[in-house]
Amino acid sequence: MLSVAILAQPVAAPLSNAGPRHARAVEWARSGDTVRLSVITPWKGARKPLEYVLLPGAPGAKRAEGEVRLPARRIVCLAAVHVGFLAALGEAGRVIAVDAGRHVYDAGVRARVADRSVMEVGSGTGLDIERLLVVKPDLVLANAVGASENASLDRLRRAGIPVLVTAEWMESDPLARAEWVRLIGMLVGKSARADSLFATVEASYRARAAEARGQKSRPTVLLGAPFRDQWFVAGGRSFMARLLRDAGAEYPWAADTTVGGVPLGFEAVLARARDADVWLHPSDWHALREGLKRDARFSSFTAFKRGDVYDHDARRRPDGADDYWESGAVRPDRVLADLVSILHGQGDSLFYYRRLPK
Amino acid sequence: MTKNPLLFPLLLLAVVSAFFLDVAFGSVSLGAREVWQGLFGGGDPTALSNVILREFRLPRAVAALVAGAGLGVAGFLLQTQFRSPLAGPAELGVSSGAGLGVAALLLAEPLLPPALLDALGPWPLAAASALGAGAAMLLVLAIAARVWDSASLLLAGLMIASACGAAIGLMQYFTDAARLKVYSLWGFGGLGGVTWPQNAVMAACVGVGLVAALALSRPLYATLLGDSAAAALGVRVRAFRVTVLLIASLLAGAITAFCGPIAFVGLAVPHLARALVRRSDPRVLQPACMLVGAALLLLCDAISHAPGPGGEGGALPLNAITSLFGAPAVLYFLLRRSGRSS
Amino acid sequence: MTGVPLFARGLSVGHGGASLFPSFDLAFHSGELVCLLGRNGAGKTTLLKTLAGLMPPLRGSVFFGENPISDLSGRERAQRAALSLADPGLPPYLLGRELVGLGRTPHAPWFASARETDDAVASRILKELECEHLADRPLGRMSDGERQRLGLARALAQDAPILLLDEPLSHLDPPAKAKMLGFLRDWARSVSGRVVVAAVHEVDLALCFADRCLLLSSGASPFFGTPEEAALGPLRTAFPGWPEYWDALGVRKGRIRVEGSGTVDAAGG
Repeated sequence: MLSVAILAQPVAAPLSNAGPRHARAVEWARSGDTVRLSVITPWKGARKPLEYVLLPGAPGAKRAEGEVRLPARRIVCLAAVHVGFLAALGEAGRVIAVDAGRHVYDAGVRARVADRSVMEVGSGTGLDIERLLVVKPDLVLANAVGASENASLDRLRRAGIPVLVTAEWMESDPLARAEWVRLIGMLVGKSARADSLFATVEASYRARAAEARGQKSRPTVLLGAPFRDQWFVAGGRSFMARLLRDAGAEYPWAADTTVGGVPLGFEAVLARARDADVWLHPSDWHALREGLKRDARFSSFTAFKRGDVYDHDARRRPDGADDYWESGAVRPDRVLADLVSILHGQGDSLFYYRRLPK
Repeated sequence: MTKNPLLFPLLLLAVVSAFFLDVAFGSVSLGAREVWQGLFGGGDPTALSNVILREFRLPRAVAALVAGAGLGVAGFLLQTQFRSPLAGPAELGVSSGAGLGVAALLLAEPLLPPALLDALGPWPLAAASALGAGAAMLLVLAIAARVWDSASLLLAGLMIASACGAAIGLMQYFTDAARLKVYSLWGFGGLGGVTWPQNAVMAACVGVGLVAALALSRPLYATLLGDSAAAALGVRVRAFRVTVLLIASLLAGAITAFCGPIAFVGLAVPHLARALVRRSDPRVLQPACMLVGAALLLLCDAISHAPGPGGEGGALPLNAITSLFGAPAVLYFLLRRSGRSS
Repeated sequence: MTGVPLFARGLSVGHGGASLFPSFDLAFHSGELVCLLGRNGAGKTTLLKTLAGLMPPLRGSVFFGENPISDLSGRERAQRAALSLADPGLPPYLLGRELVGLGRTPHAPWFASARETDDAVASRILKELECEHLADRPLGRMSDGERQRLGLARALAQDAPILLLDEPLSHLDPPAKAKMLGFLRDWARSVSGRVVVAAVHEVDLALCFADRCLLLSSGASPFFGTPEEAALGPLRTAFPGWPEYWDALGVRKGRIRVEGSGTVDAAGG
């Protein structure tokens, strides 16, 4: 059971010695200066965890496979969320390369991409190994969607570059995802700051959730948008479903047991969510009239007719970089606050979210 | 006369039955009475079943009707013009050109200024698809103006299709997973996304194409004898070839723009129609192609939405069903033909 | 030249600018069967196509009656002259009666026409050529000879006074060849204003049945005259290197007349 007590103060340091409290995809244990790290489910269907050992020492020192020397000073972030974690700790200055500048929201890093102090090295099959070698990183943070993508990172490992595959995206609990900031904190030698940040976030999140639980009404929420007449709806155990539950919403597919998405016909979605109170994340269009042009049938939804359609594009750059995926990963409490305001309040003072204009 | 006077009434009946079947199936199961009421009035217009019928089932069935008729005649036009049993809109390069347009839009979208995207109109995917199909058609037409014989023209169409496929593959390599998924969903073909306004545009284009094709029945008939013989009978072969290609491209391009590439219908329907009608006169065969095409596509769409594997989960991909029917049908006719003339 | 259904002035034909023989004048008289003879490549098919208006002449012009054919539309040309080319690739599923009915194309307006008239004409011609049994059979199930006969039937169905035929006898067996030529000659004579020009390889039969022969040899001027005149010298010039053949044929003045019943009378002379 979640504790209902609202903590107003940041919690003190002793927590750094403890492993993760919420995160399920990762486990770590500290003994002295060494941390044994195990990324339990680096991707869907992974057979074995990825094991790492974090040791203090100079980055250039001889190391074995799976060892990471700390603190890392020159970090390559192949996913925008890593930039989000570092920026939350005030350590975005350590980023020396990203996969592509247009994927990053953080203004500071963007500016440094523009003046070439941060390199763009691509990702996946387009990863430019040579460029990466030139910047001499201490650590490369990456996501791997599957075993084959992990294998393509082997080229880096063989070149002697430490690669750490993170799996924060595998977490379906918003707090679990945010807790990965504690791991990032360890990597840059700022564990205390990370732990205290996380504790604040945790407390704030729980406060909002309690606030939402105390509300009388539970509005229903519709998520996503269809392609033609095929609608991929988030499963009942997905990240969004969890977030909505914590926000005090009713999700029509809460009973579904999948973690990913469920493909449904447009008709079926209409049948279940026609009178949903709020529509979130239509994704493809950014104004109601655009949506109508795409498909006039959207007006069959009550939420559309009343204009209660929201998307997290308040902090999104024209080229698509969305802070929701960056700082939003570290601050689920802010996301939750937005949702609570939309669902139970006036829908004002939103941070990531924005009501779609006519 | 080998013509069966009952044939056309039977074909009409088949179309009507398939239409009802297609309207009856979908991811929400509706009872027979609800379907009947929805179609013929009665009941609250805002009731869910009526909304579903009016906004989802009927437009889908109408699209299948129009697209099936149009593709059937497009395939007939191309098979007659090229005198090849294997010609179809895809072989002309129309489907590949449309795919190239869609891939280009999906790949370039983040880089395009919003003004340009707005210029594509309310249906950017359809516009991109139509532009791509139009470009492929123009290329084939340009070649047709210089190349005299149909065999070379068919080869040119195949080469264009291959080139488009290669370009699309290249684009797919550089696109991210989300857009790839959108492209592959588009590639499956589907009638469920065709809304009423889109249906109106598609029906207008297909209607024009069908009327034009019917009007050209006489010269089409003469084309069966070959370019020289047709010219000797008074057909202006070069102008006629361009006209036929234009009509076939209008039909196939409009349909592909709104429904994505639909496999095999253009290829199989003329063979099926000829087997039923047993005549080669386009004045009889083209209407037969329209009816057979409509019935076939309605049936395939109904099957793709049938209760069972789809369930609440929406439809099976349309192209899978049309290929399942179409490929064996074409094979059968080819084998029968070669067996007969040897 | 009035009264002449088909003639050409200063005609020179060929492909891509290369003339096949020096330009000459041609006049075909009403009621005559003309056999077009020459080695392969001499230009028989090219000449026929040019006379039909399918190809433009390199020089000179062709006239149907009083009209230069360049003034006529494709349909009008097709109503005045029917061209039947050798062995086109025909769709195997086409029925006999459909093939013959296609000959009506120049006469029919665009879409609907009295389909009954087409069928009536087709039936009549099939009967005349003794091909009624082929009416409902697909072309793919016919012999080469049957297809060839239907090709002629289609040309006849066009109801054009001028018949231009390219190798109409090639797949027929010898008695049928003779019968066909006799039929064509009678056809030409039966109604005024008709002309048949048939390119054939069967020189012996041509000499028997044709009213006149047009001999093409590449490079040399064409010869246009009676079979007797042709037999004297021009034939040997047009087909050089084979004098024994003409001797073996026993080409002399006179004709071999073939009656419809199949008996052969040789009239010497």
